[in-house]
Amino acid sequence: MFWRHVLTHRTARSVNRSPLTPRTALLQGAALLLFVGVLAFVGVQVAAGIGRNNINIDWSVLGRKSQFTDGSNLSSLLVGLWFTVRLALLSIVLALLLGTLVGVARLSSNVVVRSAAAFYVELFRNTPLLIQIFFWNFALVAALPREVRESLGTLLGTLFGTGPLLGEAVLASIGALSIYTSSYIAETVRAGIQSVPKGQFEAAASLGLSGTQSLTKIILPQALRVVISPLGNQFLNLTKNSSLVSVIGVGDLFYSNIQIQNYEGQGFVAIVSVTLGYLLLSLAITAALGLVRRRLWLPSR
Amino acid sequence: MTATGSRSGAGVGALSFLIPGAGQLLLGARLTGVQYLLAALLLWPPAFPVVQAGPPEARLLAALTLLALHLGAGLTAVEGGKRGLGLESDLARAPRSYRLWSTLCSGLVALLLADLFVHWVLGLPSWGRVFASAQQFFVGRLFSDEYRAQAWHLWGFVPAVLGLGAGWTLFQRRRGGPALMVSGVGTLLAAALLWPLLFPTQIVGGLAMSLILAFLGILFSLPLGILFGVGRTSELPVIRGISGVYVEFLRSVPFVAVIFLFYLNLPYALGNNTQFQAVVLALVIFTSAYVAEIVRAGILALPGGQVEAARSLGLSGAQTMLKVVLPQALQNMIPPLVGQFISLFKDTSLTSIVAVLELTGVARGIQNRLSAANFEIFLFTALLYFLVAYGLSRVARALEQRGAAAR
Repeated sequence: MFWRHVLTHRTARSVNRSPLTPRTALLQGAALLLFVGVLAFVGVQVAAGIGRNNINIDWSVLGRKSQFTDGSNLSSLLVGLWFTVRLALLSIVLALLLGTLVGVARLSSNVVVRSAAAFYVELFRNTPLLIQIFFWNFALVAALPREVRESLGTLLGTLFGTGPLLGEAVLASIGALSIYTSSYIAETVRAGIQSVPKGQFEAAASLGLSGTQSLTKIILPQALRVVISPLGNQFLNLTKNSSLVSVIGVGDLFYSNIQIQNYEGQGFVAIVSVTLGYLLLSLAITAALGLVRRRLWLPSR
Repeated sequence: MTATGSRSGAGVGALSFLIPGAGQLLLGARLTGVQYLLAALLLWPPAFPVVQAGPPEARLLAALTLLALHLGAGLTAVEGGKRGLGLESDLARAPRSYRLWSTLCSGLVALLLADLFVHWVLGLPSWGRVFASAQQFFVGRLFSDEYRAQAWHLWGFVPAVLGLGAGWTLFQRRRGGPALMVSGVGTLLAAALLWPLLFPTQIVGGLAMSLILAFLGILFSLPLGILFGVGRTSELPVIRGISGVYVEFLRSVPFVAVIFLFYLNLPYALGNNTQFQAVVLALVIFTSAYVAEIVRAGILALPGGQVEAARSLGLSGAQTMLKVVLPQALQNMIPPLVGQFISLFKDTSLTSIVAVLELTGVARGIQNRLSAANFEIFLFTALLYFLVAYGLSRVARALEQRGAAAR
C-alpha cells in the first residue's frame, strides 16, 4: 500500500525521465567517479597523515575496558546513546508543552500576551543555543536557592543516573534545550493554527463552543495534521542539538567521543563511531515520524 | 430574569472586589472565575513583597497591578451579574469590561516585570569589569600591544558592506551583471584586507570573527549547495543518489560532530597548522547541505511549464537550468538563504569548542579570567548575538514581503 503512493509520486514527478544514452551514462559515471574520488583522496591523505604521526587507527579500542566507566568503550558509547535518547525525549515533551502554549499565546486577542509571546520567540530564536546552555549552567542554575537547586539536581541525577552535582548540569541542559526548541515549536504551532480556515473558528463559535473548547476540539486537531512534519523536524533538531550539552560535562553520546579521545588517544575512531551513532538515531526518528505521519494522513488533503 | 434577581446577581458579583473570581464562580461563570482566581494566586505572592519593599516605581506598579486585578474582577462580575445567566458562553457575559481589565492588568504586570528586570540587570555587581574588556567582545585581542599595528585591516569590513549594499540595490533594479560585479569586487577587496587577520594565525576575534566565519561559510557553501541542490532534482538516478546521500548524511549528524571530524582529521591532509581552515571547511560543507535543500525547494516551487517551455524552445538541459530555472529559483530562495545565514551565524558559536576565539570563545575566556560575573558576561554576549541575528531576521522578513508584493 505504502509503496504504491511512493511509486506514483516518483513517476508523476519525473515524467520526462531521460533515457539511458551513452551521454547520460558517461555523465553519471563521471559524477560518481568525481564524488568517490574526492572522498577517497581526502581519506587516503588523512590516513597517511595519521600514519606519519605514528598513530594507528585501532578499532579494537571499542572493545577494550573503558578507563572512565565500567564496561568497555563500546558500552560507554551505548550508555551515552541511551542518555541522549532520554534527554531528548524529556526535553521534547517540555518543549512541546511550552511551545504550544506560546504559539497559542501569539494569536491571543490580548495585545500584551501577544507581544510577550512574540518577544519570547524572538529572544530565544535569535541567540545561539550554546550561549543559552552556558547561561543556564553558569548563571541561572547557580543563582537558584540552594535547596531548590540541590533537590532538583538530586532528582534529575537519580533519574538520569548521574550524580547530584551533574544533575544540576542536566537541569541546565533540559532547561536550555526545551526553551530553545519551544521557540521554534511556537512558530510552527502558530502557522498550523493559522492554516485552519477562519470559517472553522466561526462555525465552532456559532455552535456555542467557548474559546477553549473550540481551540481544543476543533482547531488544534486539524492544525496537528499540518504541523506534524515540521514538529518532527524540530524533534530531529533537538536530538542533534543535544550534543552541545557535553560542553558542560553532561555524559551524553557526544561526551563519550571526548572521553575516548582523551583517554585512548583514538580521536578518529571516537568521532566516527559517535557520528554513526547520531546518524542511526536520526534515521530511527525519521522512520518513526514516517509511521506517525502515515497514521495521521488524511485522504482529503 | 427579574429585577430582584439581577440586583442580587450584582451583589454576589461584588464579592469579586474582595476575592477576584469568587463572584464569577458563584454566578456560574466558571472559566472567567478560575482565570481571575488563578491570576490572584499567581500575582499576590510575588507582588505583595514588592509593594512592601521595592524600588519606588515598582512599588507603585505592583500596587496598581493588584488594584487593577481586584477592580477588574469586581466590575466584570457585577456587570456579568446584572446581565444574568443566559445561554451565552462564559466570556460573552461581560466581554468588553473583561477585555479591558485583563489587558490593563497584564500590561501592568509586563511593565512591572520589565522594571524589576532592568533594576536587577543594572544592579549586577561586575558590569565595570566586563565593560573594561568590551573591546575584546567585538574584535578579540586585536587592539592589544602585540597586534595593534595590524588593526587597520579591520577597514576591510567597509568594502564588503558597501559592495554588497550596492550590489543588492542593482539587483533590485534587475541589473544582475553589474550587481554581481560590484559585490564581487567589494568581497575581493574585503578578503584582501582581512586576510592577514586570519592567516596564518587568527589575530582577530570576538564578534568580528563570528561575522567573518558566517560570511565565509555562506559564500563558499552557496556554489556547493547549488551544485548538490540541482543534483537532487536531476533526472539521472546516479547524480540524484549522490546528492541525496551527501545532503541527507550531513543533515542527520550534529554540527559539532562535523566540526570535530574536520578539525581532528583534515589537518593531516591539508598540512600543519591548518586547524582553522579545517573548521571553516566544516562550516562550508555543513551549510552546503542546508543550502542544497533550499535550492531544491526553490526549483521544485517553479511551475513545471517553465521547464517545458524552455525545452520546447530547443534549449538543452544545462541551458534550461542556467538560463531559465536557476535565475527564477534564486529570486525565491533569497529569504530562506538569509534565514540560513542567521542560523549559520548562530552556529559559529560552536567553533569555540575547538578553540576558535570568536564571540563565544572570547566570552568563555573572559569568564575564566574574571571567575565571576557569569550573568553579566553571558547577558552581554547574548545581547550582541541577538542584535545581529534579529537585525538580519528583520531584513529577511522585509525581503519576503517585498517578494510577495512583486508576485
